[in-house]
Amino acid sequence: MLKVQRIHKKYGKTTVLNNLSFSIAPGEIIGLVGENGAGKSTLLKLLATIEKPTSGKLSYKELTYDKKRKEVRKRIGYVPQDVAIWDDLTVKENMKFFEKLSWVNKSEDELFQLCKDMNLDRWKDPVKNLSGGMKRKLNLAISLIHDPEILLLDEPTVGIDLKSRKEIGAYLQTLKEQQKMIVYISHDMDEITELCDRVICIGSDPFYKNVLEESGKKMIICK
Amino acid sequence: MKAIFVTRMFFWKKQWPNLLFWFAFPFVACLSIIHLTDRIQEDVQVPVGFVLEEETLKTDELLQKLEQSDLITPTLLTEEEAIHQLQIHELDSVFIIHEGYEEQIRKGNRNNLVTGIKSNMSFAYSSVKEMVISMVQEETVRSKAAYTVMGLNEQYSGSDSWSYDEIIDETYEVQQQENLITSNLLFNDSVEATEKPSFIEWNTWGLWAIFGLLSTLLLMDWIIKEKNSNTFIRFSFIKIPWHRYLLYTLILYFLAFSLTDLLAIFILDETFSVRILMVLLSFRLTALIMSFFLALLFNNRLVYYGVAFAITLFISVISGVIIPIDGLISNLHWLEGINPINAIQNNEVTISWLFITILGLLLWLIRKEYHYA
Repeated sequence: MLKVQRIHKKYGKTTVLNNLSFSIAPGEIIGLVGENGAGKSTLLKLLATIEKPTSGKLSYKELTYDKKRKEVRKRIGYVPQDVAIWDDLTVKENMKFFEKLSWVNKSEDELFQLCKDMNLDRWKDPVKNLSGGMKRKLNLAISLIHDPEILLLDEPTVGIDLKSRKEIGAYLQTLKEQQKMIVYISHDMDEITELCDRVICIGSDPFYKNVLEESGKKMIICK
Repeated sequence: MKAIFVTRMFFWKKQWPNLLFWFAFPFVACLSIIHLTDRIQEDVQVPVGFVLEEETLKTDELLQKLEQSDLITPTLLTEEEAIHQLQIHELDSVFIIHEGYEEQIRKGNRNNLVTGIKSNMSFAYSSVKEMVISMVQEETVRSKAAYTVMGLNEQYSGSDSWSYDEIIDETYEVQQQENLITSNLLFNDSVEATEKPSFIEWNTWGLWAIFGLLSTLLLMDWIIKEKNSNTFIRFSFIKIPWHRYLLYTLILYFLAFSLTDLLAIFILDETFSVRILMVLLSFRLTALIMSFFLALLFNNRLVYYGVAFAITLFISVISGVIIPIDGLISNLHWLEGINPINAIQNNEVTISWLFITILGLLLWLIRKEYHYA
């Protein structure tokens, strides 16, 4: 269980997150929605240990974020909003690059299989020749090399075609079945309502809240 | 470290032409400048023809002296060939050493021993003529001196009987001893230079440092490329954090550059010693860490390249490696202090700059923010 307890986050005098508490169970997909600048990415960075909360407590199982940050990080797969891959290298080289520097050892076959599971089959092609959808899949695949228990995705499907979007969605469902905890930011409400078990609605804009109420999704409101 | 090497090879495999070019660049630049200067020096030596009507010990000695001159390139020819080459201006002038040269020298007679021929384009004739005359005069004076010594010996009934040749040999010996006193001091085990002295003496390691610095700066652009790629965020979730990844990669570049430094000792014909290796490695480490920090400051590679060239140009000017600035340095001693290649120019281990850069690197490594990000 990943627990977030009464966290506050301030940048200077600006409060971004105020008294937010929730927990995530294994095999659960949590959506994060809200207008631009509401604090979705900040919350994801807090969950990813990249940023510290101003106050409050985060913990994963028995590991508290402030004391066991390194241990928590080993269990996190973070998919950044900007595609974070080496453009000059091939898909294979990208996968091997991050495998060599990761916590686990994986064979080339295992890495290839991971890409294949996501319909990313252009193994030997340079990344710069790939479509946006393929790059997004590789962005996700790299984050999964070390078999993370928590997967944090910051708009992983932005700007890609519907087919790739569906393929990524289907793969996330597979990960959910493997009891991974998934936190997912998106502006696409259809995607959110289709994929997520619960949704955290951040910010004061009632639009997201209204859409979610119509869909009947469980909501956590954070203003 | 092995993992870093393997991952670095992914990049180096793609970038090998670029890497090869910049690793080879200091060699090519240094050797080209040194050889080009030698060629120019050869070209500025005046070609002069010499015709020997007799070949004796004295004419050989005269030719040997002429060959040691920095000003001329003497060529031994027949009279016919020499005149022809003078006509087509292949030679600046021709000097004919007449038959009976040795005999006349022994007699102390210095007239009509050598005839000089010039063309309408013999710009160096007068200087060469003066030089030849002075050499002939030296021989006649030596000869006269020998006869005087022999006369005095005879006049005062000296116990030692000296022959003409013995006295001449003695004069050469004395001359050589005097020359030794004014010779340059040599390091133990070093070999005395047998080549002619050059007009332009390059500081080989100074040149190596200038071109090495430029190649180091330009090869450090990987930092900007990789920093701009967004991938650094991933390093928070892998075994090796971003700053340590940069540091280990820097060490790999240091090893690669050290190999080029080691090669340079042999390729640039310098004598290998542990000292020179330390001099080169301390300089290289300083240059690498400085380039590393400089690259970290930039996001735009073109601007970085511009700054790299400007820095190299500035250092090449203040170091005086390419343009001698002894006069300027005598007034501005602080220039030596800020010059990072000053130590290598003087065959010394870089200490102050190395200390500053390593200290900077340590501070950068322990910066608190890196522990969290």
